[in-house]
Amino acid sequence: MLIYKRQYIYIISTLIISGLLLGCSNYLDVDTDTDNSTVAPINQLLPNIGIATSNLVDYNFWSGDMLSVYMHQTVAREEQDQYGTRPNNILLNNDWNNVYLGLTDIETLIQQSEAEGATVYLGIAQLLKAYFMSVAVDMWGDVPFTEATQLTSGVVSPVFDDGQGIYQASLDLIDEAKINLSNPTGLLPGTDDFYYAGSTTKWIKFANTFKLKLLNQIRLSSLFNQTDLDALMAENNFFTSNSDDFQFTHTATVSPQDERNQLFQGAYGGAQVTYYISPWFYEILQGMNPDIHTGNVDPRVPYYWANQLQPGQFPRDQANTVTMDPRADYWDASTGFFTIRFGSIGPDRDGAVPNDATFPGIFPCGGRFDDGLGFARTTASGTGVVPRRILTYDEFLYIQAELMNEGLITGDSGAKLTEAMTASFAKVDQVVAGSGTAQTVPVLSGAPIVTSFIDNVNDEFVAASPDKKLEIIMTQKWVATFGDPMDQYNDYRRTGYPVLANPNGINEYQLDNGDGYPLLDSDTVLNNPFQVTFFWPENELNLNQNAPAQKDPAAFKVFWDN
Amino acid sequence: MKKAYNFWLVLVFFNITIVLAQQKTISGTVSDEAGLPLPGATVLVKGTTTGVSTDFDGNYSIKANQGVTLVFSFIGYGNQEVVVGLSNIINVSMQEDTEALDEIVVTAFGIKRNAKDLGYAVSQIDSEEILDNSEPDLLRSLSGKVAGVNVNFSSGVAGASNQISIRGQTTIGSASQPLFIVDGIAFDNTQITTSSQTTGGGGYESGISSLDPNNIESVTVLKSAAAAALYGSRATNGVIVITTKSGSSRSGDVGNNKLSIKVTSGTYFEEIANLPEYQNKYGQGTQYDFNAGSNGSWGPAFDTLATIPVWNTWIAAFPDVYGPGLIETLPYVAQPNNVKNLFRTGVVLDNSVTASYGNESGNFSVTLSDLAQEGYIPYNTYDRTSFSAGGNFKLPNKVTVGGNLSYSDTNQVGGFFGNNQFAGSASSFARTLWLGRTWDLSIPFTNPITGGSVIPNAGYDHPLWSWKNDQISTESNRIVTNLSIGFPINNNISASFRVGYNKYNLDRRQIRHPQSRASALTGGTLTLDSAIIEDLESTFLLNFDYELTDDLDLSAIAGFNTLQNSFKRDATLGTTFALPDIYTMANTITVSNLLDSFSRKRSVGAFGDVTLSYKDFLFLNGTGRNDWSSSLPLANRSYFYSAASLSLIVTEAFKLNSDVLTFAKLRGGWASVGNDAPAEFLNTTYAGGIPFAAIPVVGNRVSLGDQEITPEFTNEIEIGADLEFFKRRIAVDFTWYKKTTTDLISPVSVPSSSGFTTLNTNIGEMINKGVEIGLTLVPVQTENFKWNSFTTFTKNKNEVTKLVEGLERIRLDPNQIAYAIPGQPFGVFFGSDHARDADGNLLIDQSTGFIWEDPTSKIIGDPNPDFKMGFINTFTYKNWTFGAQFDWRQGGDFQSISVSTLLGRGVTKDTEDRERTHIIPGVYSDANLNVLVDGNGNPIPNTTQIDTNALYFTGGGPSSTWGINSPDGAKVYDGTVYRLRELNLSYNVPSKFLDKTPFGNVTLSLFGNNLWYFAPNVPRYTNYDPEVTSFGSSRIQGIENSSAPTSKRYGFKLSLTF
Repeated sequence: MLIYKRQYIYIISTLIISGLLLGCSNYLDVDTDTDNSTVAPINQLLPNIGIATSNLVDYNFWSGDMLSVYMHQTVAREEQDQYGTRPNNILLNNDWNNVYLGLTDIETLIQQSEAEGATVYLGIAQLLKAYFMSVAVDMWGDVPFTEATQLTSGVVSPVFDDGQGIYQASLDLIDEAKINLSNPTGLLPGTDDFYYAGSTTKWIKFANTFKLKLLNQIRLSSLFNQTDLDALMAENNFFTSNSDDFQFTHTATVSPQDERNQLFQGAYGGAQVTYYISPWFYEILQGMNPDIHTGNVDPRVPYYWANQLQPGQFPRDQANTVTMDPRADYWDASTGFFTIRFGSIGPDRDGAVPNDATFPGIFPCGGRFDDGLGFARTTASGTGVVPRRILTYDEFLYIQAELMNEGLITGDSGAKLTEAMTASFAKVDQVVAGSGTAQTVPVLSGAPIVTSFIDNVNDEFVAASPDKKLEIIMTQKWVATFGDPMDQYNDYRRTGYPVLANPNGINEYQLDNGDGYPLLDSDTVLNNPFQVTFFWPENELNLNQNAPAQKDPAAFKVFWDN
Repeated sequence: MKKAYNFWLVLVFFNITIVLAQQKTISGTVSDEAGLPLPGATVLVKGTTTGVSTDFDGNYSIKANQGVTLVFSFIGYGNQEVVVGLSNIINVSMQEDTEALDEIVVTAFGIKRNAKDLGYAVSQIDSEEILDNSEPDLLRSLSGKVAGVNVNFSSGVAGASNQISIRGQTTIGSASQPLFIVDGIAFDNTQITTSSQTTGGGGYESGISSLDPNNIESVTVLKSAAAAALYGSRATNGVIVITTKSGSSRSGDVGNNKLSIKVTSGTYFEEIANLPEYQNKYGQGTQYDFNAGSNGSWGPAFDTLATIPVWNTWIAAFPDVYGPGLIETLPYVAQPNNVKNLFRTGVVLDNSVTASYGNESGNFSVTLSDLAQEGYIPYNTYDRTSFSAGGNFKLPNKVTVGGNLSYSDTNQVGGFFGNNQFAGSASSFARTLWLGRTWDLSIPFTNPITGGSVIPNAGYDHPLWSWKNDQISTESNRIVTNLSIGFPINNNISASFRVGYNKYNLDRRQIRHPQSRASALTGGTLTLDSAIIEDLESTFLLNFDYELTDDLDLSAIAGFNTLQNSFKRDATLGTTFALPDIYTMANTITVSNLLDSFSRKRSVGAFGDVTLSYKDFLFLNGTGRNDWSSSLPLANRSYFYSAASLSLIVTEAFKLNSDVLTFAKLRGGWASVGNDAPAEFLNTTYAGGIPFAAIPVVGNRVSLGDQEITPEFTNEIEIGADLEFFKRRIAVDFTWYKKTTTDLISPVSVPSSSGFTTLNTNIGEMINKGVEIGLTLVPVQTENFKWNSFTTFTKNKNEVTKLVEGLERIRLDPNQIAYAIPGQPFGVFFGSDHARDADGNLLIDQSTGFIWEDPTSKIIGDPNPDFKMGFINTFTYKNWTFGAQFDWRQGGDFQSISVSTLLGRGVTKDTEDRERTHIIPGVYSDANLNVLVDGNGNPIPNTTQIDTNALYFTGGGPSSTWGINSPDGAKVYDGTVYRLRELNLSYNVPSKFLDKTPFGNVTLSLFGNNLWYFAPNVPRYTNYDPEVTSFGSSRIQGIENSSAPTSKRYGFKLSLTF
């Protein structure tokens, strides 16, 4: 029985040990995340929001790809061709997430900077909130706002608010932000502010310029108020040069994350051609369009896109060297410009032409400056170090020209247009200078071809009817903002300008290579109406119980689109 | 006092026999009815504990006195008693037991139960069934063999993981994997996914692949929650209990103080199971016109064009051979074998040695195995080396001690799969199965100038170049060790303690060559991913065994269990290689950290299990358990659950001495199992991001943890019957069950306008109902010939019944069409489809003749099969055995990018008859789907003609057809498939030929796996196997995106025992 006794002791001691474990409840306290922080310093939150701001409606993973096809500056073979963007479009969904996940961070920044009394951070956060929400309204019309980003309070499915109310709230936020920015207290931003490195002067200039942009945008809606516009103009504290531009600076860093311009990453890093340059855009800049800037070649062409083919060089990728059929959907033999047409159903649209196609150039994305010698595209063809432009000084000047032309502010719209175009050329020079390119790139500002180009546009403007004047202003703004298509889409919906290519029209393209393979007008079709807002992302509608039924994007307008 | 009396009687008797007779050595052979030797049969001197076991040849020898009784016993056979007479040789032919279920199964913690006592369904699979095929993967070997168990294959990549589930999906957040218990210790089966399998990941392995099937003694599948209650929360989805040879106390029974050695050696050949049947009439191009840039084969017929210009890429790579003045044109001819020639015949070598030794006081076994598998995809290999040793011993003080240690090392090398179009991704199967019919891929595939791949056109990497240069290699090793001690306290009570440790260590290197299509932005990348998963578990048990009355027995277990899981993972990315051909972190320009995480979970459980048995025919079992888990909120940390089951052996209870119904058992049970959350599920920390321009960034997580979650519960009812007719010539095993899981704990997608994309919470309720049938038939049984047929039937119907307030449906992956929707089965396909009018007519775009897409998503498929059946037939003639397993999967949809691309690219015979036009049956409507009517108000039928190309490839936009650029619904196919899963033929060399050799047993076998399948509802000439999926062991099933097709395997195996 001695053995048994000893075994009882084992058992009892085991039970005691087990009991201790149970009693010791901190044995179970191991569910703590030891790898991440429970606090978010505001000077680390702000740069995160800064990146999200830049990404919003940018290219590559976001809606810029669709916007720029809709605005006929690029062409794609994907669904955005013929204005066919679908509700399940992943880029559209990415931007929706961008808006609301970004807004969650902005709300955290607002709460924390309020709690800490950091008024500059608070002011910036309010401005960015206004920017995010205005973009969301511009994209989709009605979107969640009052109940958005409140999952922590149990709101799983926020209701959709009317766009006009959101705009009003955004305008109010800008005013609040200006007050906060004017009274700096607490922690001040520095290098963590990717836009103005903590300069409250510049942020306030941005606040005013941004407000002017919004007021111009709503000028045809009931929300517009002349008194507000007059007060803002009287304050007269806007951007004064391109050093005030609201833009995100990209770098050449490839890793740990690719910090290069997103359009550069998408265009030069992809193995396929995803950004064909629009032949409509090409022909207008080449002075080939019979209705606008006819015969007036834009000196920015080699800065805007780069031809891999030299002038006169026969295409390589799919051309038939026996029959000398270039097998190109659109190829200008005289320049080497090679692309596809919007709405093309031609037999040569779908081939892989990565070695022949023309690529976005140094100004829009930090790609190659076209020296006319041809090149073979790789990521080494450019630097990708050009800013993501969001709201610039020259854009501000075009806004003023439009408001003058419409009689809402005083001034000479023609002189303002000349000022704006001059600023646009200076912007190209500024971007090129900052790109770190190894190529020798001539300065545009002051060059005789630039002066004569501006003079020619001015002559065209002077001779034009008021409506044609508006068309010229909007067309030049459209040209100048290549690479930032969001406001182009807004402008087009408000004003109907610039005139866009109509695939169902007669001979919308003028190109004639004089060979046996002319462009066939019947090769381009348009089977969809223009989308005046985008589909609400399918993901949101599928998950949100309070979401409305999917819209008809050809009919559902933003409140300011009258 | 009764026992003590007997003891004295035996002693007295024993003394007397010593006087009467000399002890002598009795020897002989124990064989079955067919005369085959039975190794491991027990020979016992009746009334004593003296006994031996037969060796591999069925031979035994035992010292006994004349007049004593020897008891011969063997599982599955009736005991035989023989009185020792004058002869020193006693040969025994055992008779099979009439009750098939009189088998011992391991339920929990090594607790053995007679299957007939159990009130729930248990299936046992012997090692032969797992080993007697050419399949190196354990889970695939289980497919079709157990009713209620569903195995979903992934791809033909050697080493790739597969999904297994028992009685359907019960979780939403992850795949419902059963718990794997190996020798009493949990065996983690995590799949470490380094890169998304949508955008370009590998055919990753999962943890179970480090288990060597050669070392498996038996597998028991506990399908019911009742069976699992003792294992705690982890067992919600059933348990697969694996006993290894080194962990078994049975293997040591073999041998009579004799070492026995078993050697097996298998050599198998592996090929791609099936290729599409290609058309070789039309070449590359569009609209019957040759186009060098086209990916599709919609060009001119081969006899209408003599030559084409030589490919520019060839001129660039080999300027001395191709180009102006050199070879300028190529003949325009078909390349009928360009796809086939990319693949190879792989070889699988599987070798194993097991040595076992046992005597009266214990046993010891050692297994050493090596598997070397070459897949049919060049450069794809899978190797596994494993070693295990263990044994059980009884000490003189009756304390038993057991322990084992195993180590295994696996190495998988494979390519990248998934989508080719995402930035930074490049799939080795991007074009592989739909090569243009003109493309000659046989010239050297490496560009001697750049080191990149040489292909005729652009847009992908040459498959062979990709497999050679873009590689994922994963090395894993696992150490499992456990120790158990058992000691009797008195005649009725015994105690045992077991502690086990299981460590899985994974190291992966993913190389993207600088010239890879995926490296355009980066200049090449190297990703290192390392994970350590540790399980530490201890269990203390007290076993009680009481004979309450002559008729009523009580056995009970009280236990206590602690469990700790730790998970550590680090990943590093190196970008841009400095020097070519050196794939080290040191050779990259920048190195960044991708992941650096650690999490731990602990749980403690106390449990009890009571079984009452009445007269060997009525059994009542009850269990209860309380768990305390670290992953739940403090207030909800403790939870209790219980189970009860009853079984009645009708034939025994009512003394039905029928010759027809020879055995009948009815059983029923109810069980509840609670479940906790994954570690750090409630986490609300901020997430640090990658610094931009060296400025640190931090933001909110995209997921939010609900701080008030409660445990999830699964309640299950099951009833069943085991019936045997004509002494097991017919046996039926039937089970019906209904499983309801409430308060499902899961991450759930929420609308991002809520501020987050994911909420970790209790999200809903799910029901699984199903039927499992196992039917054994022995149509023929003679002395020399036996035909045994075993059929399994598995039907499970899953329904998501409720989701959290405010949520209509949950998307399982933002890029895939799999959803959880109330009223629908889990994983149902929901997405875009062709628009139809109220009468179901397709709505046609008048200008194009294509079908409008419905902008509103709808349900477009269900990946869950209607049922699965397995037919296993075994024919034994003398020493020959022939077996075949035929599987039938009815229904279950799958979405296939491969099938739609094969059609869209015009490469298979499906699209060969193309020189004609088509009119899609339907009616015209406008873009807003309003049906157009004629003057009489009637819908206008479609009369717009389209060509064959447009039938399978449209340019994108709001109207489309089938194939490429069509809505989701047009790419969904019915997955019904009939398959010859296994074939085997083996010959057991008669022992008379082996008398003069050192061998005890020699068996030669031929095996074939997946030699044939037929999927009637998949476009005919694509020959696509519906079993291929892209997401490995994850919860997303039935979705295929440019995956590697399945493989077939055939070969031979030799096994020898000494």
